[in-house]
Amino acid sequence: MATEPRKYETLYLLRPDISPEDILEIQNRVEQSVTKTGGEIIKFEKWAERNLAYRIDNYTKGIYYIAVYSAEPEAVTNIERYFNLSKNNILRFMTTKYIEEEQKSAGTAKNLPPQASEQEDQSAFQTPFSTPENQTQEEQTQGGSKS
Amino acid sequence: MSRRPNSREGGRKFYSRRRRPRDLSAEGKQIDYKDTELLSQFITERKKILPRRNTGLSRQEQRKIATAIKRARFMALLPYTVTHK
Repeated sequence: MATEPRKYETLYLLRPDISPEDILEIQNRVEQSVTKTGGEIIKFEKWAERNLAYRIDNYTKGIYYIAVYSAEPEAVTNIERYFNLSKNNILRFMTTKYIEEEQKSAGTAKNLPPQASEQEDQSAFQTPFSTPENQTQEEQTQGGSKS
Repeated sequence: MSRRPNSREGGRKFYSRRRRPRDLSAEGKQIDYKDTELLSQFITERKKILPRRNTGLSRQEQRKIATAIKRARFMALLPYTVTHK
């Protein structure tokens, strides 16, 4: 049943004064994490450069990048671990289950069972809040042994 | 105090106290946390999430909207409050 890898969408927010090399570096890391586990990048783009709704680390602007990919769950852990380590460049990030474009525009979306998707949505919502804290401890020890 | 909307407070674009039944999926709209234009229809001037009695959404859709607003807030797409800027 679950043979097909899931599709994820990761939105991440970079600080506005980031260097172009760092942007590329982050992009490469995301792509590597996905392809390493046999996943596939579906879409990778700069989503927006806009004013933030509130200040984060005294930045009022930010650059949003969006990555859509199909991969095994471990790819997501991998990416989020890397994001947590590069906190000074990445202000925020969030991975959610990807909703297909066709469903987005279809007016017949009512046929879908709303409750099933709702529950999954919720779990996706909770991951970014619950996992990073558990992870940070691991990462700090890992990051410490690396450097 | 009267609960009648005050006509002097202009610029009240989306917020209405009265409930008008609304079905987003019938409008062909998928709820996405990146769609701030859609989400901002469901928050008050003070950026609180509107209750269901005012949005007129179904239980399922209200939940999705609320989740999407919370996600958007985390990503700094929508504010949590208006007090600090």
